[in-house]
Amino acid sequence: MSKSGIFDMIGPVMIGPSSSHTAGVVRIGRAAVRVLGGIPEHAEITFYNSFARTYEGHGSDRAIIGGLLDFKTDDARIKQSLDLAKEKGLVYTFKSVGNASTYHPNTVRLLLRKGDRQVEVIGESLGGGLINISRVDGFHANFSAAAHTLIIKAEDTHGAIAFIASVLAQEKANIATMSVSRKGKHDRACHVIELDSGIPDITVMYLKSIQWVQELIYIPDIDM
Amino acid sequence: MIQNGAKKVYQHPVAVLSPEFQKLIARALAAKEVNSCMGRVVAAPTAGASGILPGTLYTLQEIHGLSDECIVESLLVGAGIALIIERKASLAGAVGGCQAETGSAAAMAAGGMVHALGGDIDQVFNAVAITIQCMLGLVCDPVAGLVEVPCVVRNASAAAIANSSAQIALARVSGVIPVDECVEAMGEIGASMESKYKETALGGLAATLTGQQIAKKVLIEDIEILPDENISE
Repeated sequence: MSKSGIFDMIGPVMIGPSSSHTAGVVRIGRAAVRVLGGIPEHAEITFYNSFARTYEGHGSDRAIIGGLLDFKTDDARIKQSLDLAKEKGLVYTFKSVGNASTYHPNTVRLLLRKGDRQVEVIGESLGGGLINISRVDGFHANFSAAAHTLIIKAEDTHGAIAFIASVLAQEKANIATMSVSRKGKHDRACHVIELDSGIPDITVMYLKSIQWVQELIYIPDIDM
Repeated sequence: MIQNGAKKVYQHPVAVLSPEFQKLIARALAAKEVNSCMGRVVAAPTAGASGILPGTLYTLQEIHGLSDECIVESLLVGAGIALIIERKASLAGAVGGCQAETGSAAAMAAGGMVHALGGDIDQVFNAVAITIQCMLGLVCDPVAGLVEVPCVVRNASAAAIANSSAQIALARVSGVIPVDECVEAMGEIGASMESKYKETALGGLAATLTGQQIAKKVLIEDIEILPDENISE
């Protein structure tokens, strides 16, 4: 993780009470909305470990629903998000699981559905509003959503990384982090790339049109 | 558990020290109460300590007729102090206890206030050293894991300590132990603090009889506990 600077010390502007239990949780929800490609119609939310017992008292329930309604961390509507979800047609369930030792202490798992599209997102709230999206649909993701993120699910084929990197280089988009994982040899691979600057829609569409690209999700900076 | 304490303090007919002190306490409480009620705040450095900088600097500005620009500069001085503490100790209650949250916020406020009143860099950092000395060892023991008891009243006490430290530092009364060593001491204490005193709600006020009764009321009971050594993949 990059070192913090002087302008990170005061802020964020946020709805309380806790940067890790509210602000970070809102951001996980907002990132997940982008992975899904819109506000979900159905959300199955599981709070793990430290979140499991305290999610109501800390307002993490309203925070995650606020995030899933695409509210920012300083949006005053977060407090009423459970009621607003009904108006917007978002149906949700909450579940608590403790002692999940393979998960970070502050973990939330989201199973989201919109139309026939369904995604699974696992997010960790690291403190100070910082987050890590650890998994998307079972693949290791590990992105912070503070930069611009590309998630590309593709066939596991030679030259894929070099090709994607060269397209991004054309756009002068500097790669901050990149991780690639795969289900197996010549099976499905998942590229997660964090960029310092955004890329235009036409580039996103071009990458989507590549024959071996199965799915592409582009997540611009979630705090914008 | 929020009792509208800020308003009650602000309106109380008896001022213990002075009307200004009464306002200082009310304001520190007010910003923190807004935070606890899911209102909008600025984490400074954290949400749990969000009442201290606004309480102290707003009151200082009012008393001395300072410009907004001067207060913004003081906030920058405060942010610089926070950065040093973050690098050498911590700003998170879960890592360093309450000293890391309200202690750091008080140190930021004290340094910022001394700067606003024309103090030089030695006086600013002496104010930081003295404040840390006064806040060392404070544990993070929130009842039911919420950010309410004792966090709300600690925002008020930390604001008061920031003022006393600023007053001492302006007079060039030395804290003797240099500021860097004070910050290191905060880091050392935080590192050796037992985890039950680091935001886990297992020790201190959280573990009292009343604290546990409150916890029973607000915590989620319907929870699936996985067996030890689970593989949840």
